[in-house]
Amino acid sequence: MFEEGLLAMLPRMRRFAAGLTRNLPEADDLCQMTIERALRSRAQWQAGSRLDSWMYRIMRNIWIDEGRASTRRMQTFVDADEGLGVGSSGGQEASAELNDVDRALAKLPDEQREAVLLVMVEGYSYKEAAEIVGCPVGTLNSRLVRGRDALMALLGEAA
Amino acid sequence: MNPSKEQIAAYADGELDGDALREVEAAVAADPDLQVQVDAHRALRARLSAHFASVAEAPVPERLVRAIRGGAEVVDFAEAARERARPPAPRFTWFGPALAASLVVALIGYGISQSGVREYAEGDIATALDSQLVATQQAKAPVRILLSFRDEKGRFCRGFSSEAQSGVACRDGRGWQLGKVFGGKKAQAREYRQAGSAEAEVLTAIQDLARGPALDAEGERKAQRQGWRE
Repeated sequence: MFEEGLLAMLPRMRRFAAGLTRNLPEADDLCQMTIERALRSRAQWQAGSRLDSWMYRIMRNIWIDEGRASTRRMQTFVDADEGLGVGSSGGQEASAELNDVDRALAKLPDEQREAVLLVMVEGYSYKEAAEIVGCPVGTLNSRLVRGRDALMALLGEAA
Repeated sequence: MNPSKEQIAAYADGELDGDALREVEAAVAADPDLQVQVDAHRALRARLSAHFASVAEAPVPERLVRAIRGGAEVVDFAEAARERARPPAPRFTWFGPALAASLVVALIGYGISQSGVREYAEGDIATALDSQLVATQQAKAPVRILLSFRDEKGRFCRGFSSEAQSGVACRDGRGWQLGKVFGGKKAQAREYRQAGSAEAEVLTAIQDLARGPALDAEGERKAQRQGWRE
């Protein structure tokens, strides 16, 4: 059941990882580390509680606490050809726009980026997102607003 | 009412209810500028969702599926050993903090028969092999279990580390038969080697012996309940 649950959420995990790392090979490395840690610590998961939130929390903690240097090291093992931006399947125009979003996200501080991703991409409520990040709901809300303001300014969607 | 930025965002995200919802709703209805902000929030959400949709729709790499189905692969033992051998050990090895407590100084009984061929674990080591689980053992346990796995004969085997000795033992009809045995932490300290390296050697040895992934916490509990026998 546990493994089935992980398999089922793999596409979503990759999406969140891609948002955090903004690089698909690195996102997959982050997913793999997350899976390995989750399998190791599965005893800590309370059956009946949300597996997805638990996994997102693990992934987010790996990325924030110790992931960056490590994932970069792991990335040397990844074929350089794969080192394209997220969503490279679109046409020329689509890719150009995708890159705009990637670049804009890259400029956000980590705490704002993860708030934006959890709520606006992953669709979590403020309360759920705050639990994943481990901060009060009000803090999450204000990070989200600052992140959004910055994104709208960068992407030219401000009123 | 003059809604804050946070309230406008929360409204656009459908996070408000009750009085808060009614108040912001009324304010937005009365002020076209606020409505523009709400629309901008929603447009941004749609744009971000679309941006990442391709990742969620793309086929998942086989290695991630394998990581879930097969637990960690054998190659991870080597990786863990390498990580371990590095002085400020990175923490996302296989075992995390379980391996970190390598400088524990505690006097223990030898645990391994000193006479004749050192074939089977005895004493403290045998006790630890029987009773300690990786998931629940004390950080300062004199004998630490590194991990459990099955060898090619299907026997349950466990890597262990103590002051006196580190190594791999597999359970058969008689007891815990010792496979590779390395020096303990004490010997290393004398030789100015780093504390984790015996454990790295154990992990490398396990890489050759293991068939399939290491046991997870549940697998270990189950194996222990059946006395580490098939």
